[in-house]
Amino acid sequence: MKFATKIAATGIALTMALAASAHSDGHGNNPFSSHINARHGYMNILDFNVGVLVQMARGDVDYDADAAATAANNLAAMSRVNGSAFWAPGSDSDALGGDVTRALPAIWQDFPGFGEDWMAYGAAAAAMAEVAGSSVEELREALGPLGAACTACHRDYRLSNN
Amino acid sequence: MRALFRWTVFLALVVGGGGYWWTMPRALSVAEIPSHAGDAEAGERIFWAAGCASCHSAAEAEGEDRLILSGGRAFPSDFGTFYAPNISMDDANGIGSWSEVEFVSAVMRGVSPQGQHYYPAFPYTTYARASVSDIQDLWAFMQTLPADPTASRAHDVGFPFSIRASLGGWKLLFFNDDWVLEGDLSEEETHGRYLVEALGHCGECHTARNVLGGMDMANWLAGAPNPTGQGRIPNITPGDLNWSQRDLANYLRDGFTPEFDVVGGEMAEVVANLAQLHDEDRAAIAAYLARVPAIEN
Repeated sequence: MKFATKIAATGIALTMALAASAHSDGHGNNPFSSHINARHGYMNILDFNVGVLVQMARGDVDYDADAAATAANNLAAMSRVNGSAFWAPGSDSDALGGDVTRALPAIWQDFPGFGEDWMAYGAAAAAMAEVAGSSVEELREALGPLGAACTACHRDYRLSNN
Repeated sequence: MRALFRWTVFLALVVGGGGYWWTMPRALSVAEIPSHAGDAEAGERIFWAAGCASCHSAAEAEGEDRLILSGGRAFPSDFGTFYAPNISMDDANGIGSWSEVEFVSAVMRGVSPQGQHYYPAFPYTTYARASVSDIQDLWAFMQTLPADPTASRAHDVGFPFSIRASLGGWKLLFFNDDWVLEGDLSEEETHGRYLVEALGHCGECHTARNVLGGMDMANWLAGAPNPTGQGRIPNITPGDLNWSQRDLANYLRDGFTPEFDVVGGEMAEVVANLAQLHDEDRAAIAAYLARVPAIEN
């Protein structure tokens, strides 16, 4: 076997192994594990992009207009993802346990309220995307409402830390 | 037989009366507090550090509305549900007609102007550690806040806790204004201790309680079940909280965790208060928390 082929074969094998483990994750006892994985992945992408902005706002990282604009545009784009399929009824912390998901039943008891919070996040992300590439002062100003939008939803619809 | 009965009643009255006397509410008198002209500007910092708005503003109030202390938020507990009263400057339904010494007695002794014990859902066992002049400054600031006519809602507490006189016994058991963290502390750590143990009342949620609702001081700040019944209040001793002091101080200002998740739950209210303090206050809280005994659980 040629070296390049060997590498390719190893790569494919690894990918398949990963895919298999992801697959088994998705079909355990919990019928919603792929939904919950999707939600966690979604939130992780938000956290990463928010982190780019927060570090610049705090002065921990030098302001970089391009990087700030990219992160803010990502956040605005994420707010337009239609997540209604992965916010499936029954996939809450009461039904599945707080160690599996921190999504409170309140989400489904008050889905319009949850939707409003989501829309508020979209508006705050869009406002951030408009200014993030202009100056760190404007970025800092837009971060307050963006953080408040995240918090508003987490306060009402996410289980306290455990 | 009749004599024995009479003696029993007599003794019961003596013991009960003595117990009542021993535990009766004792308000402070004007002579017991220093003469100090309250400074409203300094009082605003105390107001945010003491977290008054978290409980006494209307539910969901944000921004300037957090200064309208109309009350009404519900606090479930093992003993029943407490409703934060109106402490706005309304004369009839708030505390607008109170005197300074009545306010200090309420906040630091848990005694109302009518001479009744308050339930310790009001964290006077924490505020008892504050300096009186800070509470006088707080009173000066609170008098600048608006009046709101909303009537306070009665607590929904079952027998025997519905008898306020029984709280005298509770105070005897659990009211202790000694510092929790003793020892050799730096100036910054000492300031942090004041903010945490005397004003911020972090322990009220982050420390577990015994069956009578007294704090389990051996597990100071080591986390507790959330009284709402959902989730846990986290352990914030170095046994579990491994954030840098800088990360922690930043979180207390802007609400972002080291992973850039954002504060949620009841802690969102706390961050809204602490964001109003100075950078050195938040740094001091972080420095204090690093000195608290590490408890792993």
